[in-house]
Amino acid sequence: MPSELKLHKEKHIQYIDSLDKKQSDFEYWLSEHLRLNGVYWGLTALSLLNAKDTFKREDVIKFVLSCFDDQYGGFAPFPKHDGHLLSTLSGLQILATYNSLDALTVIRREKCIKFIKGNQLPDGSFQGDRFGEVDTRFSYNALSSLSILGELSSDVVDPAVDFILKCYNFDGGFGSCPGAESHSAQVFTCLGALAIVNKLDRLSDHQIEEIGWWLCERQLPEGGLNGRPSKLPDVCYSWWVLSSLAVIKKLDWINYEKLRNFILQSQDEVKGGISDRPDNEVDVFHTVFGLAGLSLMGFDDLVPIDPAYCMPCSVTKEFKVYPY
Amino acid sequence: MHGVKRRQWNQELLEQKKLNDAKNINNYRRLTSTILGLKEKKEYSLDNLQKSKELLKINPEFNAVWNFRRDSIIALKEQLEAKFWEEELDFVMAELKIYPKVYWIWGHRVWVLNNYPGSPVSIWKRELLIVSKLLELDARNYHGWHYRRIVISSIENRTGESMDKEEFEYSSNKINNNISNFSAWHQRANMIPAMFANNEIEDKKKFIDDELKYITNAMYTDAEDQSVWIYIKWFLNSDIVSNTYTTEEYVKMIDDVKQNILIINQDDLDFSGKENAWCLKMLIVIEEISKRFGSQEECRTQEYVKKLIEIDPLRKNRYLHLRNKT
Amino acid sequence: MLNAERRPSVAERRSSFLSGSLQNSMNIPVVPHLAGIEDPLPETTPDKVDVLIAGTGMVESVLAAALAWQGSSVLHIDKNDYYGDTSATLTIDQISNWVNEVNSGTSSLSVCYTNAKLYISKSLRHSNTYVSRDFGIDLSPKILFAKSDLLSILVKSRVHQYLEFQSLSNFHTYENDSFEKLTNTKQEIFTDQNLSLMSKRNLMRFIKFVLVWDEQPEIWQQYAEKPISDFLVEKFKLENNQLYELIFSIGLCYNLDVKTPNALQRIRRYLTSFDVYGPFPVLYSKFGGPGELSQGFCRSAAVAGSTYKLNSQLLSFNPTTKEAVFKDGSKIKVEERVIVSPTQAPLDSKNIPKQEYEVHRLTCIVEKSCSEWFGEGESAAVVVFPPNSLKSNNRTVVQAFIVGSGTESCAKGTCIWYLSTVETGPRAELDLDAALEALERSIIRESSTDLENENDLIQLGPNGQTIINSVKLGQSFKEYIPREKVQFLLKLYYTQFTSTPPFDVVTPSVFEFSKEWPKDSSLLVPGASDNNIVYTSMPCAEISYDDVITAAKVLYEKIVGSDDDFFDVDFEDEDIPTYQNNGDVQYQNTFEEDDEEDEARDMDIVENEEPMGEMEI
Repeated sequence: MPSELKLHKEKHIQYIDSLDKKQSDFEYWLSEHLRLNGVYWGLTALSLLNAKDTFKREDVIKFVLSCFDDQYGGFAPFPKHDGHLLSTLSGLQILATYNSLDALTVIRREKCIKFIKGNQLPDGSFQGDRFGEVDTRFSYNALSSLSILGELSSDVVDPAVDFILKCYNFDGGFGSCPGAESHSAQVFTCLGALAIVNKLDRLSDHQIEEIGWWLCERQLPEGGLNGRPSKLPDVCYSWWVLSSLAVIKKLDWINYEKLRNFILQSQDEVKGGISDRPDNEVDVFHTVFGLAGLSLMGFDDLVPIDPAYCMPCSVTKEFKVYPY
Repeated sequence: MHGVKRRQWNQELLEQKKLNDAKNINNYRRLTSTILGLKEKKEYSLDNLQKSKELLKINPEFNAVWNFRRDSIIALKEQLEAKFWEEELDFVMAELKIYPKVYWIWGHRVWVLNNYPGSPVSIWKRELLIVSKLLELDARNYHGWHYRRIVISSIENRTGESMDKEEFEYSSNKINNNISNFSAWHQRANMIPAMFANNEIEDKKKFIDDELKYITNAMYTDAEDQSVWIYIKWFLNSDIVSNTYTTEEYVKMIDDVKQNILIINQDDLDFSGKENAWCLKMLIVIEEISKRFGSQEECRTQEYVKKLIEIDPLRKNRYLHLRNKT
Repeated sequence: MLNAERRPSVAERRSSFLSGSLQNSMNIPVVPHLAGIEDPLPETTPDKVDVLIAGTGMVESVLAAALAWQGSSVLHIDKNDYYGDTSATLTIDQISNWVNEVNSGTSSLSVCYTNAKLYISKSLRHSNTYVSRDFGIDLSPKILFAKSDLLSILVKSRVHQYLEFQSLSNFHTYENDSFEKLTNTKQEIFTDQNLSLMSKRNLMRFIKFVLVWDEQPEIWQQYAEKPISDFLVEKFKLENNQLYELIFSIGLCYNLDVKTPNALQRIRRYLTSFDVYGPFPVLYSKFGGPGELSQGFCRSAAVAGSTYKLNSQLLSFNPTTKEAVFKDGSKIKVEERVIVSPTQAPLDSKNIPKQEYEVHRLTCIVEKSCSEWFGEGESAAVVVFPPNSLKSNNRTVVQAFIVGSGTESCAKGTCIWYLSTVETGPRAELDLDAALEALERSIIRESSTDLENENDLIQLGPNGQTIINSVKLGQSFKEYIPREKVQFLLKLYYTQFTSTPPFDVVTPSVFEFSKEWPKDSSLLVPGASDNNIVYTSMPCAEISYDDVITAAKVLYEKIVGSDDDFFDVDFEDEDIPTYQNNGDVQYQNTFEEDDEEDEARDMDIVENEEPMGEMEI
């Protein structure tokens, strides 16, 4: 009975807690390159469940700091790996969640800012690192990171916004770069970035309507949301699509109850965690985005989440609002 | 995990997995610490290049190792034989075949092609064939389409010739294979304005006429498919039509499309007792366009919205919003 | 006559298969060891077994393998010196002997087959070009739908790894003296220039509906007892030629009066099979059809411990002592059941179920490649002659399965035509002859070199309509009078009997015989050598394998008590549970097959959802 579905909070807390204790699994080692991101996902999920203390704060901060890439600047996903915008944002998000951005030394803070700004290209876009891959994901990483650090400035923001607007498509979505097909997750990175730098007014009313339309068409009869037309639903889009709708203030353009059911049906009721869709293997990535979606819709007594930052509102309300 | 079925682990399987994992972990950690050590000391050699390959075969997501590999290649550039570059491309392709959705592998391939000695247009043209093949296997692969656009622009930059027409043909092909392939419709919607802008179309009016036939055919073939409707919505509103057709022709076209949509909608109603949600959504769009032309026809948007609330309840609040707006 | 030799067996061909698959060393298929049936036959048979099966046809072989893997001990015999029995694939020599035996009237074979007529051309008999075993003629040719219970079992049991399959995508409907290729995929409907917009819509609507027809009874319920043709015309406004294609080529039905639900089931079978393994609905096994498959299952059974004996005939079974006696004098105690194919019934048997339905078959070997009829890279085709399309005014469909030399079932430059009909009595032969003539005329027209437009794929029809005709046989060629004649190397007529009605699968009641034994001895027929034997059903007229698994399962349930563990085998050695990918990373191999969920969503392949990789923030 769908109406009896409930969120297994305790199970999810246990599941996230167990993740770091899986060193006898090969997969644990194979995911080293995502460890910092994984910690951010886990910590955010715990924050939403009001169980932040499940992780040992000191240990986590110590680990985050050990991931700093002193050669190139920025955070690597794991000690001795390389700095990248993806992991840099995760590192900063974790520190901000623990209200301990000052754990970063002045020198490292400067290096970090330099690393982020240094990856901006003349057209305003960002590359993830010095090897040149360009993607609106990295625009988001960069702007969110700089905002967390309180270091946004118009020389960075203005060209970055121009580039993001070039990624808008005729269908009402955004792609990974100009000309690329619309994708829910890219819509989030673009709208989230615009929201963080307070530039949503660069979109016309008509565009906002179109974006809202495209986003709400992602909901499928089974309740879940997909990333593109004719694709299967997936719990992680509960976040990408919902947060985007929230940013343009059209959160209720999809059906909450049905989406909630879809997310709850994707729980592993035995060992905890949420998967991409019912009966599949769970992971921390889908767990956090499932919970984040539920939080945005105001279900299950979860801690409120900020749709632009994907962090608890209690954390983001401390951030300086751009323009400063 | 994406698309991985949850499975029940019995004790026996768990034991077996544990044994296997222990072996793998050992090997993997040894290899990882070796490579990261070499990386820290910037020890670039052909031997170490080989070692990084072994690790990447186990874990193609290990970005730092791809970086080490690239730094090694740059450092060793003078020593590398010509065939190295081909072998590198083969290696990347073998990885892509197993992991077609890993960003790092696609990224590395672009890097290799850009750094290939001379980066001649011939290798990029070959690349176009390869990515076409990959898109045959998975016609919606987001990375594949993205990569295709990179390859095309590379070829265009090197030859100075536009490939818009070829890409337009390619989109037709892909759509003919499966009209639900929105990736191809997207590409088409980008190519047509480019072709118009670059004067690559001889008879613009005929082109628009033909395109109209094409989308009419598509809407009759599958009126449930949002890919088709999203494209039609773009086409009806696009500058290329308004700049090519006279106002009279434009108005007539809009009316033709409207009549066809009404026929399809009625047909659905006759068959199933239910109207077609996408038809109604498009009728609202069409009224907006007609209004721009000062159409005198009675506005029925409110009526459409009311029906949509009933037959498409998931998006009820959007329709309520439309109702209040008009 | 030519040298009497058998064709290489599945096992003998296997070496080449293995070397081929080893290249793919990433994932060497773990095939059970090939111990068993090609080893020297055991000198002695066991003293007792759980189940004795006589006859190595499809159903019996599947049953043997299922029982063996479930843990029953099985003795599987065949009175012939080859595997396959009613499903056998035979050489020219073996066919001659088979025809002689059918006509001798002395064996139980004559209960199942009559009226066998064989013509072998001089050029085949005295040629240096061909040898007998160049040809493998199926006694009951079959095609395999890509989405079917048999294929699932083939995969699950790993038996598919003994076999080689090829695709078949060309289904032709014979109409107005020409072959039309089907328009049945979304792609073809979209691009077909002849279909009116409304026809496209109607056809698409039907195709979408039929994929989920059983979930929408409100649409067809009032037609449940009515012919499919009424349903298609009244409900979906389909046109005549579409009707014919859907009912006869896609649905492979026998006439227009087939009841709506039955036909919908069959039409869906074709459409859901499309794009499961590629852009084709049907597979067939190289080297012969059911003959190969039954051998494959026998091998599987042997691996699981069954004992095999060829040249072994059951003489009698005594239900009281549970003793089975064989022609060579040996005996065995059978604990559970004796299962016998009607063709292998002991002498003095009195309990063979009535085989009341006729299937008439005409099999020809022609000296032509017939590649004109095949799809690109394929070697087989299905041609359907709807009712009233033939000179004989046929009331029932004639189906033809065309097999070229690419299947390794016949010599290069030759082709086997398998024609069959469920028409009864003398009309049947007339229909088969008329269909043969039509095939003959067509292939001559098509393979002639002096046609204009030879390379044109698109022909204009008399009414100006275009015929996108991959077989290059448009109406415009109708008047063309062939000058050459097709050379027939062999023609074989026979009538086969079966207890399964046309257009149906076997009913469990066929196997109900003497259920109450031994409590009720009145059920025993005095003097019968086959008391308490359960007979399997003869192959039915159906061109697909659809009834095989059903029949095997029913029998399995009778023996084991439930079919829950039917082929519930887990080849664990192959499936060591490791993830290929890691915990948090969202990549996956998209080149794998789709799951069912996707198929329900769309008739075309919907690839698995794209993972977002590091779409994290």
